[in-house]
Order: sequence, then structure tokens, then C-alpha cells
Amino acid sequence: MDTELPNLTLYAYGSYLAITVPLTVWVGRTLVRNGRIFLLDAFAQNHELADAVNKLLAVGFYLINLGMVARNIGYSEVSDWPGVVRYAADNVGWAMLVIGAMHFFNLFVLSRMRKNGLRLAATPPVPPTTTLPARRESLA
Amino acid sequence: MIHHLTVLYDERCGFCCRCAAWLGRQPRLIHLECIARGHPSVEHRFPGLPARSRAELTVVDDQGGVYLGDDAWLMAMWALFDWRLWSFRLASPSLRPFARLAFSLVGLLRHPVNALAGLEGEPAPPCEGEACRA
Repeated sequence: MDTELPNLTLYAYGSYLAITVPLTVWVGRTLVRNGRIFLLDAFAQNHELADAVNKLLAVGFYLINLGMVARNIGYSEVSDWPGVVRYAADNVGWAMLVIGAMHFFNLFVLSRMRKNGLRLAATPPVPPTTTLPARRESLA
Repeated sequence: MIHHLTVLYDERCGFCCRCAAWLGRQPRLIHLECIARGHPSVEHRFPGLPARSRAELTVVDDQGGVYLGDDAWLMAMWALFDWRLWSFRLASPSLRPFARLAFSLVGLLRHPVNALAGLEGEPAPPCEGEACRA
């Protein structure tokens, strides 16, 4: 019987990275694609500014998430296949939770920016109390 | 679209003059002009202003709309970059009663405030006329 345990650590790391990196890219691309319309409202339909802010937000998102994914690899010796699954599931789970939290935070920020932008562009908060007689005549 | 607001303030009240001067210094989103209510040009420019405009803060827009009391306060806030969001908040149904109360208190208390702060006794306010025009 073979007493030396097989080293499956590389498989664990590989499956972890193969799931988390595409996942991060996918969420990032979704954010960029759908965040644009929020930013357009926030910046009064200024396309250039909206695209620039969108790109900057995406860079921050990728840096934080990929940084976290890289830091999370850790030092583990995996020697059986259930261990590979456990390792990958544990780490992918953490990555998903963090990406999800970032995603909702981004949504919150985007919707706030949009609301403020729309409000700035809105009509007066109250209708006139009355109108000048001259104006009333010209309307009649 | 409203592009221009005229704020008519009580020139007999030192506190109001200071407020008008402050208004003139704020960053604005639309054109804003402060004129003393007693200025001779007011009746000429805005014929038929309601009598209430003598006692309360009044704002006139460039389309002939007249805003009195708390409406006027909200419109003045709406014209300012830093205060527009607050004008919408205070105009919302939940905060409107408090805004109305606060603004009418300010309106009623302006004379005691002048007396207490020593702001009264400015029959010819320094900010009247061209000097105060924003």
C-alpha cells in the first residue's frame, strides 16, 4: 500500500482561482455595463464624465477583489479529493460573499448618486403661492 | 423652466438684510437677485404683488409666480447649490409642517432678534439697492 499521500494542493489552488477570477471579472463587467445608466443620470447625461467615473469604479472593484482573492490562497496542504473540494468551496464562498457585499455597496452608491443628480435637475419643490395679475391676464 | 428668481426682503429688518447678503454670497444654480421690498422699483417691476408680501419673505420667479412665506424660503434654498436637496427634503409631506413652523417662527421673531442682537436701527440698510444685487 502506498503510504505517501498524493499532493493535491495545486489542484485545490487551481480550482479556486479558476472559479474566483472569472467570477470577479464577470461581476465587474456587469457592474460597468449596468452602472453606466445610473451614472448618466447622476452626471446630467454627461457621457464622458459618466464613462470616466465608471472606469475608475471598476478599477477599484477589480483591485480590491483580485487582491482579496490573491491574499486568500493561504498555505494549506491538501492530500485528498474531498480536501480539494473543501478548500475550494471555503475560499470561493468567502470570495463570493465579499464580491456580493461590494456589489451591493456599489449599487447603493450608484443609486444615491443617481438620486442626487436627478434631484439637482428637478423642478421647484413647491408651486407658486399665487401669480402676478399681469401674468394671469396673459395666460387667460 | 425657471431661470431667474427675485428675492424681496424686508429692508427695515437688519437680520433680513444680513440674510439677503448671505444669500448673495452663496453658490447658485440659477440666477438670484435680492431687492429690498420697499425699493421703488419693486412695485413697478412686479405690479399687483399681494399685500402679504409686505410682511413676509417673498420670491418672484421669471414667469410671474409669487412665493410667500415658507414657499419663498424653499424657493430661495432651491436656487442655492448647497441647499437644493434640502429644499426638496423640507418640501416633502413629512417635513413640510416643521419647515412651515420654523420659517414662520423666523418671520415672527425677526424683530425681537433684531432688538436682541442690536441689528435694528438701519432705516437705510447698507445692502439696499445695487450693492445687494446678486
